[in-house]
Amino acid sequence: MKNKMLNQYNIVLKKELKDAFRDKKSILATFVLPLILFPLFFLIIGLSGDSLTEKAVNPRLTIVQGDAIASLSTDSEEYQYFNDNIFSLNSSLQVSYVEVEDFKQSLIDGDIYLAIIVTNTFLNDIQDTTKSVDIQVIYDDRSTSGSTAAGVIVDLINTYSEKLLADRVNEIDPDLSMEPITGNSLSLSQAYDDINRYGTDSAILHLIIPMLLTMLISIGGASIATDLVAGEKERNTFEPLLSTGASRFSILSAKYTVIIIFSFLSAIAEVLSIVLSMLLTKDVFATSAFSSIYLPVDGVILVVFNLLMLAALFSGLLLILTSTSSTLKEAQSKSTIVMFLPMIIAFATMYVDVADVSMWTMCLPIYNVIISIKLLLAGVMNYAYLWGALAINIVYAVLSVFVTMKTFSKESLITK
Amino acid sequence: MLSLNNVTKVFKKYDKNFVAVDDLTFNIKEGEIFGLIGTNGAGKTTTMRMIATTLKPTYGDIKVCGYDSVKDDAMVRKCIGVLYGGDTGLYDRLTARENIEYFGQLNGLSDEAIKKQMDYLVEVFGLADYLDRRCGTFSRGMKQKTSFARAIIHNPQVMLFDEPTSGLDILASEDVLNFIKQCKKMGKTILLSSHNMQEVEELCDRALIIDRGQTLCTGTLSQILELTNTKTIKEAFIKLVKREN
Repeated sequence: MKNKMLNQYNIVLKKELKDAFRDKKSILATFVLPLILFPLFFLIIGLSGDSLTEKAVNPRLTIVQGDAIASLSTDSEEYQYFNDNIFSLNSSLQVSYVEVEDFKQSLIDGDIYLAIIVTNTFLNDIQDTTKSVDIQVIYDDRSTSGSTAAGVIVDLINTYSEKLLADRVNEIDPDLSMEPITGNSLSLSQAYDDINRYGTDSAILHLIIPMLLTMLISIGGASIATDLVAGEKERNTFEPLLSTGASRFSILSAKYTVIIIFSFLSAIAEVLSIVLSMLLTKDVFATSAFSSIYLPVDGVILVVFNLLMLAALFSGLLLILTSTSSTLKEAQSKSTIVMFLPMIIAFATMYVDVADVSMWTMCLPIYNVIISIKLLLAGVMNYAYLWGALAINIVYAVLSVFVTMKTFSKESLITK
Repeated sequence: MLSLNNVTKVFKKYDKNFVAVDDLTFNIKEGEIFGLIGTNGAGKTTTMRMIATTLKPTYGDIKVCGYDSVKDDAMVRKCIGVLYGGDTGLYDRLTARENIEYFGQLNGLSDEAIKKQMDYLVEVFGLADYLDRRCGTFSRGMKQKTSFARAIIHNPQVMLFDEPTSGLDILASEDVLNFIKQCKKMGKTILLSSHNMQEVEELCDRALIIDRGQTLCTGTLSQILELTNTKTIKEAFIKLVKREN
């Protein structure tokens, strides 16, 4: 009996996989999109980042004196002072000086990124060692280019101020230390070679990978799931299928497995895509985070089982939705609602401190899997949490399988 | 070969009971074509589904080839071949051969048995030219023939045809009727559900007229005409249904 059911399961599984891999739309949604999404995302981020950097090192600015609204000319001594002493501190900086009649209006119109306001007695004041010279940098706070460029200019002004102070101190006493105290922070793994922690400074490792991996494991098989029952109903193949010698349990188990396989394949495609993107754009993102990674085998196994249980939970949910739908469209609408759930929960984990995670959160599906992956990636092997989450996820998966079986054996599956 | 004894099917919806089939009794002998005649919603499809084991009777029992439809549902499904009406349900991304093989495998046939039966069906229905093409590209006629072959790949003893010509044009309907005649020649036991009186007269040996789940009349076609004092099955049907309403 068991052999017979296993044989039927294999027949349905083989057919469903063959059918699914011939479906271009499913392949596109499950593999191609996850594969190209990240390189595309990184490329866009990289391009906009490059553009922002370019604007920061080539800022369009002007200098205004006192209460005036018009710029100083490039012949002015003040401009020459800035150019010779401050802008020249950064060799890659190429200032585009713009002479404007009304700096405020020019800032609003985006003609300049920032305006440097100096006092009427700027040149005299800066020579006076008893005075502190106030320089204001005004930028449009709606503009990222403006705030970035303002940051660069203010940093240069402060650097010049330190340089000026150092020169003045040096004149008084050349042996005087300019840094009587220096403070440096070191993480445990930086301070001690025997501690394997990778730090939480890599957003890719600690935010994006756990979130995306979990979301795709949950809903990566959604497009194939809608086709598996609702699609069959719509094409009038479902009733003939149920009228064959195969048991409903064999048919259901095979369809269940197909969704889990597609969820995992989708997640693997996504991870490959991330690694590929990081390798392609290594100058933008920290690949060193990956090179220093150490993943304990038992931790990896626990996380993989947690992911498997989550896939089982969501495959069941998706099968229930598609089984209670008469058409593909209805199944797709219902799946869309389910797709929001992992997204919302995933966002709630964004700023969780893995070193101080609340144990009760192991009861929350999706959330507990994301935290488990974060713990593993951060090298914080909180086994109580990992085992607890696995136990809870097994319970959810079993419940999901049970409810799915109940739904699949209902007569309303056919009569609706 | 096929018998229904006092079969009743009650559906529950929002705490209300709806009797779809009420105390239905009939039996079909080997090699016989039995017509189940009724309007839309009369209970024909529900009866077919109970025989095909996709629905369970609320009361009564159904025996197919000696197997009980509830206790031995898997064995019953192996004994029957089902052809549903309207759009033929085939897997568009599979070839005709893969579609037919799939149903053969699910009905427990060995690879050798499938090959033997496939060769026979390819010849009978003339499938050779498009056997290895995906069904999504097929014309209606090609789909129809493929689904005939799929329905009898496991050489079932009992055939269920649920409004098989529904939605088909005259040529496609003719193919279906010829297929049913062919099944009779093969000695199959056939239950034909229909509201097309012409095809009932052309094909059936005996028939049962059903309305709102209840049996109005049953017997050979000549017995039904005699009982209702009419000349055609269409007249008999209209007379019985109107009298009941």
